[in-house]
Amino acid sequence: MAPSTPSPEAAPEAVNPLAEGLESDRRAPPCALVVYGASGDLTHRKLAPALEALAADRRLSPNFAVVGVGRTPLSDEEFRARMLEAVSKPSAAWEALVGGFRYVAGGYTDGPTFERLREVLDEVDAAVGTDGNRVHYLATPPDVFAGVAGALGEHGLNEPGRQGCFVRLVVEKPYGRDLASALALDDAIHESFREEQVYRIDHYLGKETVQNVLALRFANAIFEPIWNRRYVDHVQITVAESLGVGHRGGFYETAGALRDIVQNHVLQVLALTVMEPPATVDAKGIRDEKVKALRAVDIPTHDEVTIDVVRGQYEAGWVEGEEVGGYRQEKGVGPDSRTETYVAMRVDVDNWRWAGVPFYLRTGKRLPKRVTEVSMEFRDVPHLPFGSKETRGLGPNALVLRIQPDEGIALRFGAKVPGQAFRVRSVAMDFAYGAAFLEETPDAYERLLLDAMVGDPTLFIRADEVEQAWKVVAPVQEVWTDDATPLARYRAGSWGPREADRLLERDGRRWRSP
Amino acid sequence: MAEPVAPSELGSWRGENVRLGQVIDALSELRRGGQRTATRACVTNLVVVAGVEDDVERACDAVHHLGRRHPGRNIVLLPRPGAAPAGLDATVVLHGSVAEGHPVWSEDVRLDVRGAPAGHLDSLVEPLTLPDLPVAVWYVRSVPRPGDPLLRAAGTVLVDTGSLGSADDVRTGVADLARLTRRHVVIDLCWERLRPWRQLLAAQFDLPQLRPYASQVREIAVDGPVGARLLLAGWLVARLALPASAVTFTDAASPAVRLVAGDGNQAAVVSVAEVAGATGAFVRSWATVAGRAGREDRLSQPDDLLAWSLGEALIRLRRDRVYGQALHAALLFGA
Repeated sequence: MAPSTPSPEAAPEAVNPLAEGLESDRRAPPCALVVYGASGDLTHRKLAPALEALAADRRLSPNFAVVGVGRTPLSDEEFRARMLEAVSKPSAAWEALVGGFRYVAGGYTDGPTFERLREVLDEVDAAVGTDGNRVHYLATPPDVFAGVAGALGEHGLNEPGRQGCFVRLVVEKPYGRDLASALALDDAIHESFREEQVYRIDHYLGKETVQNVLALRFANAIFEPIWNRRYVDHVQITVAESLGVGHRGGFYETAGALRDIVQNHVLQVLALTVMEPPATVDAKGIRDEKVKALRAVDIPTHDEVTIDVVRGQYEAGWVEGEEVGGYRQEKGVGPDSRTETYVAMRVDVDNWRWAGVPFYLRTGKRLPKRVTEVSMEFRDVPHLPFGSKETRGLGPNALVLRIQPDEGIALRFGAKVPGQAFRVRSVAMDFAYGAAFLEETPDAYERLLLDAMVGDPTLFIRADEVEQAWKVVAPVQEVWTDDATPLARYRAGSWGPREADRLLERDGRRWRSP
Repeated sequence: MAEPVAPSELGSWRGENVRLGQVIDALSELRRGGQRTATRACVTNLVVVAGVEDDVERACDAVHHLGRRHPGRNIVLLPRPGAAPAGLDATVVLHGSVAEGHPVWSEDVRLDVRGAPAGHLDSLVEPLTLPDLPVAVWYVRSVPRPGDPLLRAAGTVLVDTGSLGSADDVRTGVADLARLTRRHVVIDLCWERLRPWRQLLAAQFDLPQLRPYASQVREIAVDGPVGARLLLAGWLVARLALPASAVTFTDAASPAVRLVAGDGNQAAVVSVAEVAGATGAFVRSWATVAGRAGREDRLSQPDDLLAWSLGEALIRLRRDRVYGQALHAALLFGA
């Protein structure tokens, strides 16, 4: 085990003289990862492959074990087989670890489940050497988050058994359905866990390129001076999916794009884009600034919601050469559903840096392609010394941070067209991370699982961040509760409803085509 | 990130008794012949200084093994100052691969340098390096002498204490390196390969039951080849503030360390050694504290240690203060 980032809950100890110079070799300490929802889709698709990758990369201790908890009756052997099957080519390191994995079948709030879990964890400590360290990972449906947290508290599994050990709780999104339920969930969790034990996941923050927004802004002298209202005309943040809701129709009916994407992913990207430079790039420094940024987001009134927010739902169309049905034809979706699959909204950030700069946010399913980007469109030059004929084809400067796919940065600027005539048009200088760094980038879950085990909460969402994000979308939810609110329809394969175009057109702007 | 496609040779050029300008032209010509949209993958300039033909092959194998992680321009130099007539033979190979859907290129330039130009390698390297990228110069089996002109072009010097030859050569090399680290960023591939040993030892003392023993170590036994054991012993006495007399050495094929801390029946013993496993070698650490077995830990070893250590070195490319301490402390030993 490499010396790891000190966990905030650990007691301060004397310095290890052999650890200096090895700080970058992050490795999880011995621990048991208790996964609730262990027979579910998230465990199979995301957690197991991420853990295998960590094992193959020597990031897991040999004293590591997964203890699965789920309603599906499975033996230890069946669970181990599932954890191996979840990975296409399991490494020898993974195969060696899986042999120590255990499974507890039972209801998520049933007393016997947790009694048995306690016994199994003690056995794992003895057999694998997990040392009493626990990371409880809630990969269950959200309606049992509070129940599991409460049961852990009731059965004394929320606190370390002895000094020097840790117990942490990782909570998947969605964290609440609205402000009230998020606060209620916080209250319930805080009855058993201290805030510094709670790690709320938004897997977007585990993406390398989301973290690169910080690197671009705060490691370069040339961008930050123009990163403000004086130079920026407006900002567009796009989180587009070409896929529909697939087999998640039932879930999506209870969520919608506002809860599923805007309240978390979009607002997190917005916060990273607008935040002030942190004094230190540690958990507190970054999260404090993100909360300040979210607090500066102007919370719309109900009237403003009707003007500045568009909700849409896809109809049948063609996407990537395939004919696809409309949302209401998806499995698990009602024929008269009014759940939004698209949201476009204008928000303002009321602070010294961004006053007067509109931020246009949009997200949707069944859009033409999968893309996440932040586009910063700059103001025009004070005086253009060329005629309109010469500058036909010249657009404003833009800096585009592509988060996925094809991660990179593009800068749009004007250049002379070669030839005798003096004509200027926009060109793009395009930087692709993939072509500059061929280094394998860790998957978001790899990064976040390791962070949770190491005890680094920087890329997890703090309670006050969640609360503030819900406050931003709360008026929208309130207005949309009224079924009379228009639901714009858009053709699958288009960039959204016409109403979203009008949202920008009324300000004399238009959406980019990413 | 999508798995990059393995590099393939897109084109090559070879010339005997050529001028450097011809090599540069050949590079440009090869690039022009490729796809116009290809990006040159650009992470580093790696200059390899080989002593003999075998070193060239060994180094090229390692470089290509890690090529997907560290694409860039590789300049392989085989200086033969005593050869005549003075001149330059060159081979240029352009490699192409696809990463994230983008075609990317990297280049290998091999220069066989005969006669007087072999004393002025910097003049050959500077025109070939890609601008704005770090320049790492890897001396495959040697330590650069003070005043080596090539050091002027080197942002980072890569050496390998494990490849310096006899025990005497290693001791001389360690002394030279201790001087070199005062003025240059030096990364030792042997030190990188010892990282699992260092990690596991440090990790043992991260455990609460062993942490107090870190200040009570009184005996250190270090086994291994001379380069590795000097570096490990130097590191331990420097970090634990121990006299050289606390260390005993044994020659062995693979490094191993045993630390004894504390006294009597409260003593702790921490060991780390390489072990052959069914699925490959791994480094294992174990401990006993007051007679009771402590935690065992292990790290698997990569298949190609040279390529792995080179890759680790190229990720870091910065001064390692602890390595400098280890080198200076290693001068205390005659082992």
